[in-house]
Amino acid sequence: MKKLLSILAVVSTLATFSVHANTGIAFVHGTSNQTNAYDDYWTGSFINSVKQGLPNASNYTVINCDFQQYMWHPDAAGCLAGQLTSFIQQKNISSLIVVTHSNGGNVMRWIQSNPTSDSRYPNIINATSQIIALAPSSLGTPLADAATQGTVFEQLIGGFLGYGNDAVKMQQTGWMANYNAQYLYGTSGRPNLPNTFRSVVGSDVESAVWDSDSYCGGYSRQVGLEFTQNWLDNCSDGFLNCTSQAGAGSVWFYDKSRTKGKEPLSHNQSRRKCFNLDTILRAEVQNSL
Amino acid sequence: MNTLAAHSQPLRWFLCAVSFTGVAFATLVAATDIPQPPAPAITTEKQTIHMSFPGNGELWKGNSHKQQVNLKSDEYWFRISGEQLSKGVDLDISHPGALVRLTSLVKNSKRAIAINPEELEIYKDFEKQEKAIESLVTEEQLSSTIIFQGSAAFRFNPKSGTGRFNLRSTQRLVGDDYYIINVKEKGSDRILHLSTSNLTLFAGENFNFEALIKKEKQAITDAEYQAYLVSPSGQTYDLSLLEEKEGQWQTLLPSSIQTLTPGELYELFINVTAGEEDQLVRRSAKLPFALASQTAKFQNIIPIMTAGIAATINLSVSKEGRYGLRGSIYGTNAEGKLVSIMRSHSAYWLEAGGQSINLAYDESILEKSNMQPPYKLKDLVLIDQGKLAVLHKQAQVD
Repeated sequence: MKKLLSILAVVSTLATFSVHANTGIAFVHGTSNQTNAYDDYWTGSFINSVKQGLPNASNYTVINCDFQQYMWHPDAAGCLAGQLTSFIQQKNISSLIVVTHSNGGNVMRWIQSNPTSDSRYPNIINATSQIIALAPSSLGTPLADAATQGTVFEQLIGGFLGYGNDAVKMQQTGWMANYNAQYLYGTSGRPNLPNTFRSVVGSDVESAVWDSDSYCGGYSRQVGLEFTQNWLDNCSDGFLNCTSQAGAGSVWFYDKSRTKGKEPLSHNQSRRKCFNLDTILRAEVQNSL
Repeated sequence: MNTLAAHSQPLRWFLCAVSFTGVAFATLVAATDIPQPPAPAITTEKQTIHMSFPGNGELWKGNSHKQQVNLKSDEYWFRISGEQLSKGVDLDISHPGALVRLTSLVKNSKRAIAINPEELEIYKDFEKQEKAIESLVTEEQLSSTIIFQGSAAFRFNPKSGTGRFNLRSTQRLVGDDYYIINVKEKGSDRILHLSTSNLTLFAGENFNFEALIKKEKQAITDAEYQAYLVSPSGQTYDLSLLEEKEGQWQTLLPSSIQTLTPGELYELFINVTAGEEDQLVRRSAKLPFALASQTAKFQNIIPIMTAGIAATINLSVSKEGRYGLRGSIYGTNAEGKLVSIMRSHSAYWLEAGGQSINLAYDESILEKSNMQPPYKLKDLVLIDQGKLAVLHKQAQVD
């Protein structure tokens, strides 16, 4: 056996970050190919509000990768590992809070569940104190099932070209069930993840014209998400069933239990400054110090 | 042969007409071969890496915690041409208020004309049903969902009831344009249940799965099951199916199939038509599984569980690449029960030939656990990390 450099990485003190830890936040977007996720995916108002919970508000990074690929792809998990590693090293981060949205939770879970696939993964796991997964697609979505009906040729030319066909294929419920059972941790009956993975679950979509809450994050998107609820359970955020969002790790909270006015968070709103989500996250960052 | 062309014939559902009273076999369509080059490995990491992290203290559940894929379907779909849609296509509705989505497909780089749902007509028993459509959504409105691009949809008026309807478009459509029609019957109690614990298979192995359509908890016995196998690149394959007992199926995978892109899954497409008193219940679903190449063979394991080495595993490696071991280490609690202490991982770059590798564990996690011996290694898995394939797994090591 050709033996190269051996890395022995241990995650045994995850919950024992001292008060002197240098805390940072990484914002990890969902299914999309981002070059400016700060503006195009999250919006600056959301990020700037959340990062105020840090002692050093410059200790944050906004990830820009191609999450239209499969989660294990070099442009997905590989890109994420590269940007997280640079952030950890450049800012000397010892306590990393990772805030993911949607499929970003799967890519992060890939790194967490496959620590020996890439020599950068163990250090990321060791530096991470918790993952806050906003509406993670942990069990996939029936919408991906619907978008990939027909043969592969029909799929390629059909409904979802341009949205990221590999990531959509991956997020079919059957495919995610297979990956969860074989390669990913944190779902029912599987080994636990090395870091705390807590989800925020969006449970409904409101799109009433007369309701100003329907306009947070964009009204037209709300209308579309309300329609796609027809393919989903009664508890859904318009893109994901609540069961999928709650399918890995533990549930931090269901939207209405913490949001202003007990408003639900649609899948579009769970990455925006809607109904105090930003201040809830900011308080959590402060509490974790 | 292009699959799209192959399916321009009336849809060929290729499995079998099934009698639940006995064993049934069927032959499916011929494969369509589309040669493609293999994709590169998903990791080329060369360093040896070991990593362990604490378990959650769960009790060992024996072999009963077998992982499965479980799926349900309350919908069906099929492909039609513009010509067919102009003449009228039958929709079997078994649940009032069904949703119908029509997605335009592309042929020769040109997408089929978008369906205008306002120009759709519904007939039943040759009579136009003026109030059959309760609400509709245009392609422009659905585009905001991002995932349902190129689609229009409508909802049946629940008062229209169930049965066979005929859907026609009065729009000027191109005859050989193609569309997918998806009928979603949310809330229906007629559900197709699918499951398998065969998550990864090798070519030439048997694929065992369950497929059964039920009304509530009762199987619908007058049902015809049809299916075929589709590779990640779109090749379709004949299959012969054996129904071992009600709802439990077995099929032998072709020996020639292979996976070219790591991580992509094969899919068994299944269509079911079940007869009820005055209506048909139709359901479609896809059951995925991974296909692995035997790039390394597990020879034997030597449990050690001392000095940071959980076990030594001997392999016969046929393809140079990166191979990972993972397993859970259990200890004995005060009640004498096995409790998970940690999950351990080791990975190596291995050349072809006989190889002996260790699964390492972290002694400090063991010490902090306060668990007593005997320590047991469970749930051992060998993975080809470059090809993303589970090559071997065993629930118990000793």
